[in-house]
Amino acid sequence: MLLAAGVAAGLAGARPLDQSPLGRRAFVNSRDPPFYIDLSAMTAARVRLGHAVFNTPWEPAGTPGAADHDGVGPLFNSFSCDECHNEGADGHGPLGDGPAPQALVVELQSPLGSGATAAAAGDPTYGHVLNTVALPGVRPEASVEILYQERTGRYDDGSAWHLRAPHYVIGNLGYGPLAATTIIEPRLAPQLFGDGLLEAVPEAIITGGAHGAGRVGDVAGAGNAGGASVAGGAPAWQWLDGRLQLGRFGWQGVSVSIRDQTTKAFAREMGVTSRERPHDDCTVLQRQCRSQPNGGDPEVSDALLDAVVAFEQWLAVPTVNAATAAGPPDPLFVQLGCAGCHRPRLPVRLRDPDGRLIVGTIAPYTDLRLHDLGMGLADRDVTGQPVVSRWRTAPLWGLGYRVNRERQLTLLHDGRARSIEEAILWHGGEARAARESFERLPRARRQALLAWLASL
Amino acid sequence: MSLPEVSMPTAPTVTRTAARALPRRRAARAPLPLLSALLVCAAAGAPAWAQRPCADFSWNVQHERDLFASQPQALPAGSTPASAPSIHADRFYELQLAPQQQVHFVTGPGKVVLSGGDYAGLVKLRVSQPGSYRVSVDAPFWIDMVSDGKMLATQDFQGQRGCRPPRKIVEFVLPANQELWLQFSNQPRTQVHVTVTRSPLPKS
Ligand code: HEC
Ligand code: HEC
Repeated sequence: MLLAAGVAAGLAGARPLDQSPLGRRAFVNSRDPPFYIDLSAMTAARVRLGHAVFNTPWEPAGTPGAADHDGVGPLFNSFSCDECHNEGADGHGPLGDGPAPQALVVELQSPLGSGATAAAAGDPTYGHVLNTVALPGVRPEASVEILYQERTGRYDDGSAWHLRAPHYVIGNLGYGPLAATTIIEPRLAPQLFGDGLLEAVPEAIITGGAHGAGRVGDVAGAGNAGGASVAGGAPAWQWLDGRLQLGRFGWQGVSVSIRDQTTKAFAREMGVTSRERPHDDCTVLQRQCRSQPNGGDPEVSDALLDAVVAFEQWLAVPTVNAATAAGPPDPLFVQLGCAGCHRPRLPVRLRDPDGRLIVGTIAPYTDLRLHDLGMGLADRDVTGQPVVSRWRTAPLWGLGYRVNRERQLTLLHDGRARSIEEAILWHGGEARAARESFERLPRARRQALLAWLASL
Repeated sequence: MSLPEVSMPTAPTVTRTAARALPRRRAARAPLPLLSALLVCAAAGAPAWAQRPCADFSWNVQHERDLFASQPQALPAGSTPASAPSIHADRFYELQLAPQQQVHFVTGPGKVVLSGGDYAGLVKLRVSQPGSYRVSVDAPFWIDMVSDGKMLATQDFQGQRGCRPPRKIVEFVLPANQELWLQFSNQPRTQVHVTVTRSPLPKS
């Protein structure tokens, strides 16, 4: 608390950091995730509708009685949002060798044609997402299998660590080969908790704005706490609607808003069109897919889309330990340089559903910027060549809930890390120094840091 | 003591090949040259998608698949707890459901959805051995297991689509010799095919 208050003193106009950060709630029933503000009866009703939309398995076009939720596919991965993001939580990752679980999606990307002025393109034949499921009469695009190879090493104190490195086997390609340059991007469905607050971090805080990149550090407090600060990374600029916009969502900040990511998910993972995204992931080369009946134009109405976005918007982040959730970062976390990217505090500015301004801070443990974490974590193209990849610093809030809830923790963008410890050991590139400092720690201090992270 | 930054043979790689034709163990240990060789293999001929069994469960589901291949016993499911018929483990049933608005559940359902046109129903169940059981169905019905008025937490679930059933399997830890209600809901289908089976003991 002292640390946080000290930092706040230097900030003009922002809510003092010794006030509890916004966004956390205890989750009593995982099927009924709470919201971080009190909702009026009207908003609560809309959010309840949104929750139902989120949970609903969409039906094939023309299913009787399902007029407001038909049009899934013909090529898709899941029938509902909920199958991948169970009640807003992250998806079940791979347990071991075998078929990729449903929530591990293989996205496809063509290297950007004209750099900073074009939207990311998918594979010319398969589109943006490898759709592993299809309606009857249509061939699925492919199957995905994962094979892991164990790696071992030792900490400086001699104790051993283990990692598993994934190898993806894409088989049963239904529509001919993938383009040789296509990048294979395995992505595990992340938690949605707190996304509405990540959306409310002022853009200038993330980009450095007029104050330069140091501004994030000042607000976060990490720099002032005497730790090694890894300033750097880059904002996740995305080309959308003819201009560059700041990306915040997805493992690489590919989506600029919850709504943007939601319409993408409907279109690409479920085959459900919306007014904003009138096409699903069938490409011109997939005639069978294009000739299937649709479930209305668009398939998800504006009203249902608005409702599901509202549901996502207000979802709280689960607290397992109130003191950790509201307290300052563990000093070791700051000393090792973790806090340079996993920023302990960020300011937010948003309006509640009745239009009242909320100004406060959150403790998300991210800077919402992209960092190169080295070739060990990089994506690869179809020929197996690694391509430099930049990742959004993964928010660490809610980690404790995942530790407590999941049968097997699966961290990082493709779920390869089976523990917090493994996730740290995969850090390379810009985070290499932080990882090496972690490896040098004596066992007891390592364990203490891991225990703090597991209560976050 | 640090991780090698670039270490090709162990870093993730991607190959394009017919997944199921790949000898798994060998591939996992294969050095890079062999993996590269696999890159040029073409995908196998198109399989018969519609008839394909759901092969992608990461559990062993042979027992469930065998039951689903047998003749089901047809039963009307209950639309109230009182009218729910009893079913037994290791048998295969075809349950007739009622429009969901007409069904009175013990509690729940545990998942709220847009439910226009959905069907639902309840059955009773009792097992003599406590432990982990699987409820397997042929369509993505929402499944609640209720004991003593409360929903039991699911232990695990898996689902597969676009293939021969079973398509969705949910695991629950069940108490022995107690009245349990199994509730199916949230699907626009008038019947559900279902089995309840003991989960195989975990491999040690
Ligand atoms: C087949 C699995 C799958 C389905 C179905 C799915 N998602 Fe996702 N979702 C993902 C994956 C994978 C990502 C990460 C994408 C990336 O990194 O590019 C993601 C990311 C997101 C994010 C960004 C979270 C963050 O903090 O970065 C949101 C929001 C989201 N999904 C909402 C939805 C909604 C709403 C639906 C239903 C309309 C949905 N998703 C359906 C797999 C899925
Ligand atoms: C240079 C920036 C940077 C530094 C420094 C850094 N991280 Fe990370 N961290 C990231 C990024 C980016 C990811 C996501 C990488 C991915 O998914 O491939 C991540 C992911 C994680 C995850 C997994 C979270 C999840 O949801 O999967 C944990 C845990 C974590 N970091 C802890 C730490 C700790 C502890 C330290 C200090 C020893 C640290 N990080 C230092 C950028 C950084």
